[in-house]
Order: sequence, then structure tokens, then C-alpha cells
Amino acid sequence: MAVSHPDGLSARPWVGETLLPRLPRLRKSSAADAPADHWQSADGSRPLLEIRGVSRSFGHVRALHEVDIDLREGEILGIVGDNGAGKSTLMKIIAGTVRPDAGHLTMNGEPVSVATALAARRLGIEMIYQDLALFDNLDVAANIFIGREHTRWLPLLLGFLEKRRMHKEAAELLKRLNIQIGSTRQPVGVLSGGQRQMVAIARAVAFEKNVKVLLMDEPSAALGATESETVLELIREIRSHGLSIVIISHRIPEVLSLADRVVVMKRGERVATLDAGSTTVEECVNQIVAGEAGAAA
Amino acid sequence: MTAVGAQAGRPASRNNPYWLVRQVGRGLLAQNVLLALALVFLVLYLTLNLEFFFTSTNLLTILRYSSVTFVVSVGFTLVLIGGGLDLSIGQGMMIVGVVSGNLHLAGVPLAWSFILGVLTGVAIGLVNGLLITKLRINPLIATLAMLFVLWGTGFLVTKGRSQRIRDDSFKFARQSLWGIPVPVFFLVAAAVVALVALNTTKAGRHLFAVGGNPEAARQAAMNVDRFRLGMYAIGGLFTGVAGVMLVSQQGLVAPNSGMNREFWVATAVFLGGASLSGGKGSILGTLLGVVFVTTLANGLVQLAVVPEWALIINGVALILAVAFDQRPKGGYR
Ligand SMILES: Nc1ncnc2c1ncn2[C@@H]1O[C@H](COP(=O)(O)OP(=O)(O)OP(=O)(O)O)[C@@H](O)[C@H]1O
Ligand SMILES: [Mg+2]
Repeated sequence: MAVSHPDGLSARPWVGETLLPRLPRLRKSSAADAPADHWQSADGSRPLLEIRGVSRSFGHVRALHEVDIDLREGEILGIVGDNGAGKSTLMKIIAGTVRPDAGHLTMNGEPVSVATALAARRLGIEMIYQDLALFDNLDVAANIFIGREHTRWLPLLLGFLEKRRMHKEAAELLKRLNIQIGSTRQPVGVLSGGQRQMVAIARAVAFEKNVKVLLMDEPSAALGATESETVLELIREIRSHGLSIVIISHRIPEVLSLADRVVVMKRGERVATLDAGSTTVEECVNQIVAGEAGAAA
Repeated sequence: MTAVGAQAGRPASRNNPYWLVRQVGRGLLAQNVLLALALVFLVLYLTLNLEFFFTSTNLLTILRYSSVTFVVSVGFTLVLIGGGLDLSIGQGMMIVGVVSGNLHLAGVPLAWSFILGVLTGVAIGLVNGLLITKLRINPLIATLAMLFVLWGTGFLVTKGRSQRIRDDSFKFARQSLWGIPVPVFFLVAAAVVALVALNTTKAGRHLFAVGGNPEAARQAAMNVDRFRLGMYAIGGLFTGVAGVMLVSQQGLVAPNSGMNREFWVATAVFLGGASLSGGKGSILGTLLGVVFVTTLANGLVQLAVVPEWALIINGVALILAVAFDQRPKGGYR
């Protein structure tokens, strides 16, 4: 008796073969594609996610002030800015773990509420936190399946774990994502930083059929050069399957090579939106240091 | 496309000729293996130095006493794995005994005296859980306070006097079945139930998760507080059963029957590999720990060592166990 997954196997596109044809692969947007924020594509469709007038204060600290950002379907959007610029807070608002004081979100043009993390998850928004939220004392498969275990015979928490099936599916998932981890039986605590990051990414995209948006807070922050390159490669791989990805990073060159567009935040405001293909590291840094809200496109 | 994480796959050390040696070395260092070795040495030492140690009577006595301690230790282990702590177990067992014994003396049918005793244990666990999850009191403080409250209550109810129970059917734990002491059946049952629940069910998996990283458990949409409340109640269930076993074995309603029990249990369980930081521990380790501690106590008595030494040795063992848990991964420098 599979209690946890009414749709059965098909609910896990990463395990089956349903994933690839979901969306055409998107090229990096060309320089001619104006990086405006109220973006309309040629066929008139609206952005996947529109963030409008989002503000949030913590006591006297104004973490976010009337931020407008668009996320297009299938794009990688970079967010850069100094420490305390409000990047993480913005992501947590989208992921439903922080409530905004003002502002709203629309998805495919429809107003949506992300009052809780569960509500956001139902909309297809998954977030990978800065600290990854992994269980070091559990193995790779257990981490990927945590809270969504395959069980049988008894309902709810009393259910018996289908360990072999979960190991098999976890291994298939890792293979499909081209993640090489010796065994799904290793405790996550012994993995390298990059492997941990990849397990967290695999878990985030593994289950819901409708994962549309993946939010990543500094996925390469603690990684060395080679390891962060492998993680970036995985992010590209995920995007090629049609997900929209928002990625926070302090490494400007990395963001420029990975993202389609880059949003620059400063003191809680969006000061610029740059086209990653046509901008330069200098331009980015300049906006981070000297950007003014309202002055940019 | 290049293989993602290629450099991070198989540990390169596989090719190292000493790889196997190191794996074996690491296996030997596993806490339970060390503990089992220590137990073997202890048994050897006691056998060589005591005429009546390695006799079936004495070994069965050790097993009988291990059983009560083991049942309550299982509850203690589960609570530790889930990131909690319950110091009130000893006094909880005493109160359970007082309830069961007094109900029996008041003429309540045997089964009901025992059932209500066990439920008293569950209730104590629930109150602990509520104090910890609702009032947000640190588990150490909450269950220490509970220890005092139960201790005082026990003395008030019994007026500080012990009362003997004459009815032999109440003292079922003194009997044997097919030559095996009855408490041993409880030990086996508790071990099997806990082993299965912990290692093969979703609840067991989530217990490790909640203890290992409560914040991540919350993000994985688990209700950590409700889970921990249930965990303390189940811990209380084991306290209840152990309390009934104890009063039945002693045939005595005594307000001091729970004294210092939490120390012996803690030593056994920490020796068995559980950790105060949660997410770690095993039933097999706890079984080894309990047998070790009980054998040690038994041996010390027979060696006619003054009982104060037992306390000191217990303290040293506790420090060794926790130090082993806290050892730095790369070894000491
Ligand atoms: N829970 C909170 N309580 C109080 N202040 C907070 C909280 N979360 C964020 N802040 C404040 O809001 C501001 C923005 O924080 P945020 O974490 O969003 O910055 P960030 O851009 O992610 O910075 P970093 O690059 O250092 O991660 C900071 O001044 C921070 O101190
Ligand atoms: Mg941040």
C-alpha cells in the first residue's frame, strides 16, 4: 500500500522519463532582448512569476522596500548585492517562510498567496536554504525521501519503509541528474560540500510533478573551484529541463556565466536588472557599489 | 556534458593498499565493538577472580536485573535519539510502583493495578513533553523538576514508609518460565518492538531526523513539537512497564526504589552510543551498555568493593562514553 504518493511513479518526473519534453530548451536571452521588468514575450505571454511592491521590515531594519522583480519561464535569474541587501529575505518571501509587510505575487498572471512554505510548495516553488537543511545522520536516499517516504502495510507514521525501492529510485534520480555519489547508503555527513549541495538540489526537484521554480541561496558559497563548477553544471542541467531558477551569489563572474539576467539589490531595493550576456563584471560591481534605486531600467 | 561530481565520487583512497586496514581499524573503533570487548574483558576478569560469578544462577540474576534497566533504557534511548532528555525516569518508575502497589493493596484487580501503573508512566511522559514543547522549557530542567516533584510526591503518598506485598501473583517478575526469568521476556519484547519501530518504520526514520536536525525537519513539513510530545509519551510507556516490573520484582512499595536509577541508565545508554546532541543511538548499543553496567555492579558487590566505588566507576564510565561521542573526527592533536 503506497500511502504517500497517490499518483504513483508518474508523480516523479525525475525518476520517469516525462521530464525532458516538458519545455523547449531555452537559449540564453540575446542582448536584443531588453531586460525590462515588465516583460512581455513576443507571443504576449507574461512572466512565470511577478513580484510586485514587496516590502518587509524587521524592527527598524528595512530589509526590503517596494521590490519589483519578474521571473521568466525557464530562465536563470541571478541576484547579487552586498551583505544585508535583502536577497535572502526576498527569497524566503517567495518560498513562504517569511511574510511580506506589503506587496503581492502573481504566477502566470494569477495572483497567488504564499503564506506558508506548504502553500509555496503546492505552487511548485522549492527553496534550497543557505544551510541546505540536510540530515547528516541519515543516508543519501533517506535525505532525498525525507517526509515523503514510500511505506506499506500500515498508515502514516506506522508504515514500514520500502527501503530497497527508495534506494533504487534515489540512485536513478542521481543518475538522471548526472550526480555521481558512490552509494545512496552513505550518511550525508561524510559527503563533501559539493555533494551535499547536489543532494539538496536533487531532493528539491525530485518529487512534485509541478516544481516550476527553484530558489537557491548561495549554492556555491562554501565550495572550492572544482566543486562549485560541478554544482553549476547541475544547475544548468536542471534548467535545461524547463525549471526557472533564482540563484543568489556573491561571485559575480559565476553569476554572469550562469544566469540569463542579473538583478542587483542594494539596501532592500532593486537598483538594476542587467542582461547577463551583455553586461560586465565591472558594470555589476559598479551597480552594487553605486547603484541608485529607480535609476535603472 | 561532463559528469557532475566526478571528482567527488568514489573515495580515491580505495586505491590505497591500506584502505582495507583502515576500514577494519575504523570498524574496531566503533563504539559498540569497543563496548563488547570491554564486556568480554570484564566477564573474563570476574570469572577468574570470583568463584561464583560464572554460574548459571548468577548469570540469570544479572539477566533478571538487566531486564528492568533495559526496558526503561529503551525509552531513554528513543528520547535521546529524538533530541530530548528524560531525567525523571527513576522517580517515574518509583511512582508507577507506588500507584500499582497501592491500587493492588486497595483491592483493585491485578491487571488494572498494572495497567493503571503503566498509564501513570505515560501520563508523566506526556506532562514532560508538554512542558518541553508548549512551555519551551529545556528538557534537562523540565525533567529534573519532574524528578523532584515525583520524588516528593512518592514520599508524601507513602509517608516515607515501605510496604511489603504478600500476594505472589503480584510478584510475577520473580518467577521463571521454562527456566528463564519472566523479566527476560519483557527484555526481548521491548528490544524487538523498539528495533523494528526504530529501523523499519517511518516513525523511526523521523525520530532520527527530528533529533538530527530539527530545523531541517520543520522545513521538510514535519510537526516537530507534536512528534516530540508523542516521543516523551512513548518514553513514559517504557518507564511505566519498567516501573511495574520493578515493584513486582521487589514485592515492595518503596519511596526510595527509584533513587539514582537515572544515572545508571544514562551511563548504560551513553556507553551504548547515544548522544545528548540527538539523532544518534541504537537498541543493540543500549542492550550492551545495560548488560555492561549491570555486570559491573554485580561484580563489584561480589568483590566486596565498598558501594561508593560503584558510583565513582559509574561516573568515570559516563565521562568516557561522552568523551568518545565528542571525539574530533580527525583524531586528537
Ligand atoms: N529574521 C530577521 N530578524 C531581524 N532582522 C533580519 C532578519 N532577517 C533578515 N534581517 C535583516 O534584514 C536585512 C537583510 O537581510 P538578508 O539576509 O535578506 O540579506 P542578504 O542580502 O541575504 O545578505 P547576505 O549576503 O549576507 O546573505 C539585514 O539587515 C538583516 O539583518
Ligand atoms: Mg543571505
